[in-house]
Amino acid sequence: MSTVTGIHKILFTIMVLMSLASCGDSPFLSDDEPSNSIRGTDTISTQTNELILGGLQLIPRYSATVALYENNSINIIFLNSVGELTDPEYSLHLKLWMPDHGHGSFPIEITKVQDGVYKADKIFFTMPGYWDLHLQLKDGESVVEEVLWPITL
Amino acid sequence: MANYIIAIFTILFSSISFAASCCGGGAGSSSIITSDDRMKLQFNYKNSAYLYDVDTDGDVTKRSPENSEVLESFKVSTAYQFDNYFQVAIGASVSKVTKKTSRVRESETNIADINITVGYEFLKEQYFSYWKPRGFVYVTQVLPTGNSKYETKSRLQTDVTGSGFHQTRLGVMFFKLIKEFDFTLDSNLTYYFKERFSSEEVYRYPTIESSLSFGYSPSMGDLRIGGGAAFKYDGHSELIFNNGTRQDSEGIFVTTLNLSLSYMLNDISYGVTYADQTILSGSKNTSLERSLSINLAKAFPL
Repeated sequence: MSTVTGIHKILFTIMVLMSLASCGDSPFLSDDEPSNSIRGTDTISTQTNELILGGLQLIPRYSATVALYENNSINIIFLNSVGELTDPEYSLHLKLWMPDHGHGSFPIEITKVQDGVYKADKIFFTMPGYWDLHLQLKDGESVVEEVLWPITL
Repeated sequence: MANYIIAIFTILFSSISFAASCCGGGAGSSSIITSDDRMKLQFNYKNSAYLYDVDTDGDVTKRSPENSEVLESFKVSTAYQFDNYFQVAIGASVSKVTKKTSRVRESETNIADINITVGYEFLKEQYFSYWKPRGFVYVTQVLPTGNSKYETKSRLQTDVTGSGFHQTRLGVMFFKLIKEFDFTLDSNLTYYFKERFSSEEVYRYPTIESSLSFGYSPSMGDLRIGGGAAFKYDGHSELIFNNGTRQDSEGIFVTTLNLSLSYMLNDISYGVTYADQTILSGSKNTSLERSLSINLAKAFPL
């Protein structure tokens, strides 16, 4: 009985240690190649038609190839009707949202580089799938106008 | 010996429920006792890897091997039968979520949701019958002690370990033992109470879950080989943000197959369960996982 009790204690201890000291790996992770539709972060699926926000042409561009789980950045420029860099009337905000799952992501930081030029940082895609990037003009806490820029990872 | 078999499969069965990677939850099916035992105590370690993603049209894509997402959980549960009809069970777990690429890694360990179950045996096996099963009805209350995706603070949402909702689950379970074979059918409906978070108010539509499992114990001995299938539909959510805008998510459907092996040794059962969501088709709007669970359980007789 003492031997059996000892075995139980050992097994229980092993289970506790496995869970506490586990390194976040799994026996199911493999090196199998992904299917084509998930492989290409260099084949970003996003709309290509013109974005208009606050009466200005909005041109967003990712600064590098989009990567899952990593800090992505977007450069944004606003142009008026004659192609001049122009600030929008209200403050620019960005929100990442996954509509099918009903959740967003880490708050995006906006930095003004110069009139009409902004940089959005800390854009984290927390899982693969279809995401909407909400580009918003806000007056205080109220959203005045919004356009969506989708992406599928 | 038959009682031990019953205890084994029930214990293994109670760890079958799963959740999509983004969304926490997965508080699990009931952990009620279906054997003639006074009490049971169970420990479970589970390792899950999310390998595929399914969109709302059911199109499946495999994740890149460079991006891994692993969920590990350690669960403790106990059940106590205090008369011939009623019993109560409670379960709590700690989850560790790890997301990493070749360049970044984020990992967090947090408590998950706690569930409390009250069960009642409405169909007792008082005489031998080849076809009449034992029947249990149960009510589970899930307490949102885990972190939800609506209040996540980590960059990659690795702190999400719960649904964020108070839930009430009503279920019915039928069990039948015929010589060396056992069969279980479990169906339940989960109602989510509307919750207010810092940025939005969310109403989540109910979840319906149903599972069928079977087991074989050669010569009615200490070894049991089991398998089963589970089907789960999570209703969509309605979100109303503080600025008055509204957004609806889509429902989730997931199918799971599992195989299990267990052995009883001196009132302690040792089991391992492999579960796979990538085999059966039909899943929608979710991430698909494969998992391995190790179970250790002790039943205390009447």
